[in-house]
Amino acid sequence: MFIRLVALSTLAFLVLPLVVVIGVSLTDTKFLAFPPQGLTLSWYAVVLENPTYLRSFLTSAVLAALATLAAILVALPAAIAMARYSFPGKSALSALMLSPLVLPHIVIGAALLQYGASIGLVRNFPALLVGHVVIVTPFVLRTLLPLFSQEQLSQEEASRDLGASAWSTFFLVTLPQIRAGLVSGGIFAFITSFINVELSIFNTTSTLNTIPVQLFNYVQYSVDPSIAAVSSLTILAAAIAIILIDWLIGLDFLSGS
Amino acid sequence: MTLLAITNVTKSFANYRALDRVSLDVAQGEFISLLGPSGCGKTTLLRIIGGFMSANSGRVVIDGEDVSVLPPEKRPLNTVFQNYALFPHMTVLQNVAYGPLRGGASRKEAESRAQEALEMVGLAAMAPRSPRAMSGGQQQRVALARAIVNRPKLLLLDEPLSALDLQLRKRMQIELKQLQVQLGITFIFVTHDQEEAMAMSDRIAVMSAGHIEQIDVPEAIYRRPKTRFVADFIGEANILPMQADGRSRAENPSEGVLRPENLRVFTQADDLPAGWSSLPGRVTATTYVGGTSNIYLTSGDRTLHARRYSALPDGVRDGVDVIAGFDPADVHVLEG
Amino acid sequence: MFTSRPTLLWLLALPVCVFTAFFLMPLGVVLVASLTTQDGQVSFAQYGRILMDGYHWQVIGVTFRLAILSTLICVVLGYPLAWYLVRIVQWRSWRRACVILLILPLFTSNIVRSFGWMVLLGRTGLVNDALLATGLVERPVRFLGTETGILIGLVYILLPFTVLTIGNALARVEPALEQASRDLGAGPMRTFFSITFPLTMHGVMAGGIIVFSMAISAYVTPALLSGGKVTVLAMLAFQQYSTVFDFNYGGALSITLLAFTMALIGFSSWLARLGAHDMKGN
Repeated sequence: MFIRLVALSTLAFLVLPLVVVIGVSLTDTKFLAFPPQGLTLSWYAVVLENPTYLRSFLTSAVLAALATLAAILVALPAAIAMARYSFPGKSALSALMLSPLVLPHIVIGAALLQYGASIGLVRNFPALLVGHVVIVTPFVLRTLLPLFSQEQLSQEEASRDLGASAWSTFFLVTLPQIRAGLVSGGIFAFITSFINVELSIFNTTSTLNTIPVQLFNYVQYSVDPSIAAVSSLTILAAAIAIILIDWLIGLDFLSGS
Repeated sequence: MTLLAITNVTKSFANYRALDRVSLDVAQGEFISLLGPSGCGKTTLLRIIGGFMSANSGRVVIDGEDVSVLPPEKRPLNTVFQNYALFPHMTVLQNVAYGPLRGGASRKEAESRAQEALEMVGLAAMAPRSPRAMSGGQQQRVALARAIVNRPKLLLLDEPLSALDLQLRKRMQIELKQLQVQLGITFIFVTHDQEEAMAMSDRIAVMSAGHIEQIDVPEAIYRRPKTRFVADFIGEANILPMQADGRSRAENPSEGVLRPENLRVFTQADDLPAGWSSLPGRVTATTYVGGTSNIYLTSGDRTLHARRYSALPDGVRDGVDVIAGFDPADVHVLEG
Repeated sequence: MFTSRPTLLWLLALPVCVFTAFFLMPLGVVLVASLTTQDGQVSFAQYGRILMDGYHWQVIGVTFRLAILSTLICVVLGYPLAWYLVRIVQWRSWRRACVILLILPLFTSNIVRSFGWMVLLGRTGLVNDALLATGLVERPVRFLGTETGILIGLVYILLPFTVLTIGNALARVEPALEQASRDLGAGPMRTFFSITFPLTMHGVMAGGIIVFSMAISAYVTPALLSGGKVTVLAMLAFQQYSTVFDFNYGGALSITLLAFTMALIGFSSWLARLGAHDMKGN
C-alpha cells in the first residue's frame, strides 16, 4: 500500500509539469497563469502565424530526419562488423561509438565548434548535422547490437546455400529480423536530435535555429503563454512518436517473461 | 499414517478450470507421482501444495495442520523447482545454507549442515563454486541438497529431471529413489514422463483436464486402467469394442484394453490356442529393435499393435494376411 | 553473408571515418587548446587557473553535490515506481499507460520540462500556493535560483532513467528464485533483501551511472532554474565559448568536466566488475 502511494505520487510528479505547460498554453491572460484563467487557443494562433517558429520547426525536423538517416548508415555497418567479425580494437571501437551516450553534450558541442572553426564548418546546417549524427548514432547502434545472433549466421548460410547473393540474403533474411530494432533505434535517434539544446546552441544563428534552442533563448529573457503553446506542440509531437513506437514494437517491456 | 490430505481443491483461471474438486491423501514416507500431459493441472496442484498459488476452494492439510492459508515459508515442506531456481549471486554452499539460516541456525551450523547435504548428493567439493558454472546434472543435485537440508516432512519435485539427457535422467531416477528411502521423506513428484513415474513411484496419480483419473500402484495403473485416457497414456494399448457376450465384468461394457504383449500374430488359424479370440488382419509394418519385435496390423478400420520379445515369426511380412489372436482373460474392461 | 576481410574494411570505413573526423579530432583539438596559452605556448596554466581558484572549487562542489543528490533521490524514488509497474500493476493497459507517461518526459525537450517547473516553482506558483494553503510555510519559499530548485528539476528529468533500468532488471528476476527463497523459510522482506535486491543491483547501478553522468554535465536545467544565481561546471564552460571567447580556458573546463565524467564511469564499471566477481564467489 505504501509502495503504491509512493509510486503513484512519483508518477504524478512526472506528469505534473507537462500538464502545467499545456494548461498555461490555454490561458486567456498575457502572463503565465496556472490553473489557466479562461480558455483560448489564441496562443497557438500566435505561434502558427510566427514565421520564425515555423522555420525553426522545419529546421529541427529536417535536421533530425537527416541525422537519423546518417546514423543508420553509420551504425548498421558498424553493428554488423562488431557482431560478425573479431578484429583488433573491436571493444575500443564500440566504446568509442557508444561514448556520446554518457559524455557531456556541451563538451562535444564546444569541441565541434572549436574544431569546425578551423575548417569552416561552423554556424551552418552541415555543422549542426555532423554534431547530431555523432550524438544519435549510439542510440541506433545500441538497439542493433543485441539483435544479431548466432542462429542468424546459419540462416544466412542456408540462404546462400539456396542460391541467394550476399545482398539478397541481407535484405531477405537479416534485415527483417533487425527491422524492429532499426525502427525503434531510429525513433530514439530522431527524438534525441529533435530535443537537443546543448549541442545545437553552439552552431545556431538568428536565421538558422532549431526549435528547442529558440525556446531556450526565449525563456531566458521573456516569457508569455506563446512559449507554452510551442512547448505543448512539442509534447504533442512526443506523444505521437511514443504511441507510434508502442504500436510498432510495443512498450510493454516492463512485464515479466 | 496420512501426511498430506488434499480435499476438494478447485482452482479456476480467467478462462478455464485448472483443478476441479481434486482430493488426494498421501501417506508418510510415500513416493507419489502426479502424472499427466501438460495442462492437466499437475503443476497447479503442486504449486497449491507449496503455497505459491492459492486455491479457490478446498483444503490442504499437512500432518494434521491446515496450511491452506499459510505462506510458503511457513509450510513444513520444500520444493525442487523445475529449472532448479538456484540463486545466481550465491555460491553453492550459500545456496544450500540459505534454508538453515532462515530457520534460525547460526552461520557455522548452517554451513556444516549444508556441507553435509552436499555430501549426500556427492557434491561436497563443489561448495565454493558458483552454480552458474555447473552442468545441468550438478545444478540438479544442488537444488536437491538445498531442498532436503532442512529435512522437510514433504518434498515437492516439479519435473526435476526434465532438463537432463536420457542417460543422466535414468541414473538420477535411481539416486532420487534411494535418497528418498534413506531419508524417509515423503516425495510428491510431478512428471509427464510415464516411464519415469512407473520406475520410481509407490503410487501414481494420473491426471487429466483438472482431475485425477486414477490413483494406484504402478502395476495396477498399467494392467487395470480405469479409463481409456489412462490406458492410452500409460504404455501402449489396443482398444477393442466389447460385445455384451458374458465375458466382461462391467455392467455396461463398451471398450476393453489389450496390451500389445498380449496380442499374438498367427499365419494359420490352426495355430490359435483353444479358447482364444481372433481377428483377421493385414500386416502394415514391422520393426525389430533390441530383441523386441513389433507388428502393426489393420483389422477392418482398426489398427492393432502386437509385440513379442523374440524375433519376428516366420512368414510375417508387410502386406501379408494374418490372424491376430488373444486370450479374452487378458482383455481389461474399461469403466468409462 | 559477410565473412571476408575486405568486406570488414568496407563495413568499418564509414563509422571509423565519421567518428574520427567529428568526434575524436574535435576532442583532441580541445585537449590541445586546454594545454596551450592564448599565444600558443604549451602550459598547464589553464588547469592551474581552475585548481588554484576557490570559486572553481565551489562550482565543482555545487555540481557534484547536485549530481550525487539527484542520483540518490532518483534511485530511492525510482525503485518503488519500478516495483509498482512490474510487480503490482496487474492490468496490462494501465501498465502500458504508465510506461507511456514515464517515457513522455524523455521525449520532450529539457526546456519544455524545465519551463513547466519555472511556472510551478515561482513565488506565486502552484507549489507555493499548496504549501501556503496547507500552512506548512508562512511566506512563499524561494525555489528558483536555489540549489533546491535545480535539484527538483534534475530529479524530474533524470528519474525515468532509473525507473526504466531498475524496472527492466526487476522484470528479469525469475519468479522461481523468490519462490525458492520463500520455500526455504524466508519471509517477504528477507526475500527482497537477500534475493531480489541483489539481483537487481546491476539495474540500480546502470541507472545510477546514467543519472550521475547526465546530472554532472547538465546545462539546460541548471541554466533555466538557477536564474543566474547558482553556477555549475557546464554553465561555466559554456560561458567561455559563448560570451568570453576564451577557447583555451573553456577547453580546460571542458576537459575537467570530461575527466570527472570518465573517472566516474570508470569507477562504477570497476565496482560492477567487483560485484560480478563477488557473484562468482571466489
